[in-house]
Amino acid sequence: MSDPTSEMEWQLRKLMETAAGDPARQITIEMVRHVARRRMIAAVAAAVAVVLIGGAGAAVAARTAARQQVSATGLPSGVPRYYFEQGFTNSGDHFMSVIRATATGAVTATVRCPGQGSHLRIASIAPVGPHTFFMLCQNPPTAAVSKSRIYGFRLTSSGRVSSYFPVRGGALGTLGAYSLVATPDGSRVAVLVSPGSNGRSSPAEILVIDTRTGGHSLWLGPRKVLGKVYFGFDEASFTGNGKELAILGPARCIRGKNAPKCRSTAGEEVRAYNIAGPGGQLGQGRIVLRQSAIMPISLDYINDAIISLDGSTLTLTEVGGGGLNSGFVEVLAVSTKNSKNRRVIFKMNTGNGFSYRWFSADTLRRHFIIAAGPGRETKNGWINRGRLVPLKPNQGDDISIEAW
Amino acid sequence: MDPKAGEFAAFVELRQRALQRTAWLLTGDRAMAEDLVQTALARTWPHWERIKRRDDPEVYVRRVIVNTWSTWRRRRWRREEAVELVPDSAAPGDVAAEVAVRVAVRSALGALTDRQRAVVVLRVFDDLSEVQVAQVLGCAVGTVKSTMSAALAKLRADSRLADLMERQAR
Repeated sequence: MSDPTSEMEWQLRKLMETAAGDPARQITIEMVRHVARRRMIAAVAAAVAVVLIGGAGAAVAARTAARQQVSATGLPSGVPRYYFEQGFTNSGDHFMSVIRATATGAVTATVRCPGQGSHLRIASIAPVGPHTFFMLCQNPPTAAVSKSRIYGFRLTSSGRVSSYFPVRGGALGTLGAYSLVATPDGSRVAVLVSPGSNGRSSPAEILVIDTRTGGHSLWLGPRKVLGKVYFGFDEASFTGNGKELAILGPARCIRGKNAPKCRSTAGEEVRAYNIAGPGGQLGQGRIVLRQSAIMPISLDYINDAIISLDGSTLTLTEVGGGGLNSGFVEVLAVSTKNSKNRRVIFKMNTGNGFSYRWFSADTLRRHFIIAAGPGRETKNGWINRGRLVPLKPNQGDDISIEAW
Repeated sequence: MDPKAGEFAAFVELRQRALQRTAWLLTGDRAMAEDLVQTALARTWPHWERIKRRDDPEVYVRRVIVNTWSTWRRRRWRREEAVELVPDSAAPGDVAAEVAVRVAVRSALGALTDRQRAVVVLRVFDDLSEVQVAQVLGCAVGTVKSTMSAALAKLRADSRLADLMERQAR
């Protein structure tokens, strides 16, 4: 008698053979060399740009000084002097996490998860005040998640890592955490937990940690109910007092056989949740913004939403166009009181609409980093009065996390 | 052509088709699979001298492919999909049946976690040993086994896939 598993693997392999089919195009050595050369040129260009920026920076700074207060580093007042960047190494087989100077792009420190011979990698990072970051350290994604731990580190005034420290209450064990956010003073952090992580049949969860006491409060997300609108969790940000979380996610009807009809605009929503208590079941939350109120839901979507510390404004990234040559990325500031009150902070045409990107805000939610653009020409920079000031690496394609 | 370039060119010519097929099973998208293989090969090329000294350089290339794919997946603009243009020519064979298999396999693999998907593709389709899969994914052999077992259990529960396998077995 044949082994049923082997039999299944054999059958599966035959189906996969059929499904994989024949590639439409042959990849030639010339194509590979072209891509490799572009990567090398981009690296050289970045180095040249740093030199040029050094020379041109003084002239630019002199011109902008009349309008903006400029710090000794040549950066406008309040712009973080250093940022965290995690990207691929040249060999492409592992990540490198570094601190870079905003003004020059120079690497001032490398960052790692603490512990001798630690194989943990940084899965998410949150700035907490000037020159301090909290980071979620986890086993690599290719391994079973067996350990998650939140650590912090501080930078010196010259951008070096002065110390690593475990965050109180940050030992998360095998929890399937995937995103870390923090209040500006670092007194409260929240991690989003994947639905059904650790094999449990559970909804999405939010774990809130008081870093002064180490106390945990666990909030259970909404459950999927047939015929009801379900709101999923994609991304969160704290208001300044740490009592509310603004969460971006899709709102959609859960349909099924014999399920009652339900109505949903099927777009993204931002909902505010009060997480000041000891934990429990989260309700439907307060709807702060509906995508349909500000943009078409068929072609565009909101990829990020960060709430201001006073809760009055949402800063959103809108990915739009949908067509092959008409894609764009827009950063919008939208009032939480009246969504008609909005302004465009930055807009970039992405051409073919296929983009990778990163978007994050500083602790005070005043300065934003964005890496966006078409395919292999992704730009990376911070937004200054509607323009993108380049950050290293120039090509945002290789970035997995950026924060300041 | 210098010997290094010649050996690498030969590797690309010989293995690009197999690598693209693996990449399709990971991504479920032809254009992205092509991009993935090109990117992985471009990242491999500068280090080819070192890589080719290994027993099996292809395992290394597959590792770069899986890691690159894993990064692309983690980047949060994953909801965008490259548009695939339909070729304007008659396709040979039973297209409807092929499409049905493609859709079913893509959907079944899509229901797996990233790691489960990588293990199934590398172990079942690429026929790598458990040790090799562990090398590619940078994890323990035991983890490969348990992941494979969980993945097969999930695939077994997929009725469309089960139906196709049953028809195939007849």
